[in-house]
Amino acid sequence: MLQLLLNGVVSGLLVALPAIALSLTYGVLNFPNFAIGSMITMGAYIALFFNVDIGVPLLLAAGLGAVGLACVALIADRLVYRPLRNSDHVTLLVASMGVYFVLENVVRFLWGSDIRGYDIAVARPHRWLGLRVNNEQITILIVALLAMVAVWFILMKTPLGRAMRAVSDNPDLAGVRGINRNRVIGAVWGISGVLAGFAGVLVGMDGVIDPLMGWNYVLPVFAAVILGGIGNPFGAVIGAILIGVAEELSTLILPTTYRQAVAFLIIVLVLLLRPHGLFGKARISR
Amino acid sequence: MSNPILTVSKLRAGYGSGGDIIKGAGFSVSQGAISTIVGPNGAGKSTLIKSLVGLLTPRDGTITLNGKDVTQLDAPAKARAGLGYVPQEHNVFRNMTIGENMTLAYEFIARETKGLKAARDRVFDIFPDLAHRAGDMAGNLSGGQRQMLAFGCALMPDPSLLLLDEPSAGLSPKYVAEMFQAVKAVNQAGVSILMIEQNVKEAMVISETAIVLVAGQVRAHMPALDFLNHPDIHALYMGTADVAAAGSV
Repeated sequence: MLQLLLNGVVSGLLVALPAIALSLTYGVLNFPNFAIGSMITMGAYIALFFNVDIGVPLLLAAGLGAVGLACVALIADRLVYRPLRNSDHVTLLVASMGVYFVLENVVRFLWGSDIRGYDIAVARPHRWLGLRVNNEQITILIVALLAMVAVWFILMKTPLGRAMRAVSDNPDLAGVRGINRNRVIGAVWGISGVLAGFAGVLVGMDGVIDPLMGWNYVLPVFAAVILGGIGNPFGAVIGAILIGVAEELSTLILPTTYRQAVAFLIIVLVLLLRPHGLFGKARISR
Repeated sequence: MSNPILTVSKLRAGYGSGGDIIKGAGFSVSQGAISTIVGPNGAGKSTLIKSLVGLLTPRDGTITLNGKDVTQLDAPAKARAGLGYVPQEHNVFRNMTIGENMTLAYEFIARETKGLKAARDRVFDIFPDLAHRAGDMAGNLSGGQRQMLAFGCALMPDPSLLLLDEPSAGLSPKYVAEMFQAVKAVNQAGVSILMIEQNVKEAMVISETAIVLVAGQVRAHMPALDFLNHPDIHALYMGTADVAAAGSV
């Protein structure tokens, strides 16, 4: 049971990074970025390129992957989302679906569809209080927590964070306070790209790398964001951990192939019982 | 009349593909004055003020601030050019503390933080209630307190012209009086003010000029006292009075 809880928390932290990214983009741009799945995949592959094809150590490759994905996100914003900036959220959601398929197929074109993995040494898991903890889980724990602290610091303690919260709360008022919305949006895409990029590397470390790896995370990520309260990055972290633990504990009574159904069930239940999530504010219209 | 701080000429503005709501409006605000825009519902007062602050791009005409053409500038650029704005509603960031609201109101317009403390102290002198509540969330404030905070935030970067959209709307009588006192105090400190106001008589008492806006056009622009003493103030307000008889500035 404790082992399942630990595994659930680690799985949840894997979901937490893209969930924060999704929440940030929703908060500022007011649309759910469906392309988050292929952003995870693309981040994993950019790091794979540096790690396996160039021979850069994985830690540095992960950083390069994250920065590379931030650039990809900024390009997608410039080419796709900015021209649609004043469109309604359904149009933007559909556009993000298009971006999803473009990125996934760019990955297939550049790196093929074979299953691949990072150049990391295989090591025995550590034993601690009867629990098995492997190096990948420790890495996920450290990187995810560091990323969350960094996001918290940026959002709560820096002018950029204040600007992001201001644009998310009231874009017109933010404008008359001197905040350039397009610059804030650029920063949000950059941060989201970095988070999704690191998430891609961590997912790749935890399992395998293939063009559909991000797709498997779309449902849990959306479930985490909805559970935590749409547009609330800190709620998304709690939502992600709860989803991870719920998925892991479900294996006690269900075959593992039904894990994703748990996330789907949580989405349905939250939307029915508490549509604004655990930490979101109830609102009639945005 | 002293040199105008704001000159609006033949301004046209509207939303999307709809027709013009502001139809060639023109007026000016004198340096150091309080001017009040009045007019019936649907006259285009809020649309006019949105065009002035850059939330709506004018379709035609010019807006000159301190002698500089700012017509096509967006809201952040107009704020940096010296235009402060207090919206009628949704005028503070509810998910931030009072202190954060004030910091944010300063840092992106001044683009430095050295003068932040002095700016805060200046605003706390005008609104002392804000000083000991800096850590409170803005969303927890009452309507009157929120309006004071919004006013204070607009003053943080020391604007040369302040636009107020119905500053007394929804306030209790106690706060209405305080608000007009604050408007007067801020003006005496050297800030020119242009406001839209439904409490016409109270607003005119502290104003130098009245601008009557009807159906997107300026029907009269006159000394505030003349407006108050007009024999048919209601007809004047509704734009049906003889404007020539009412006079203009």
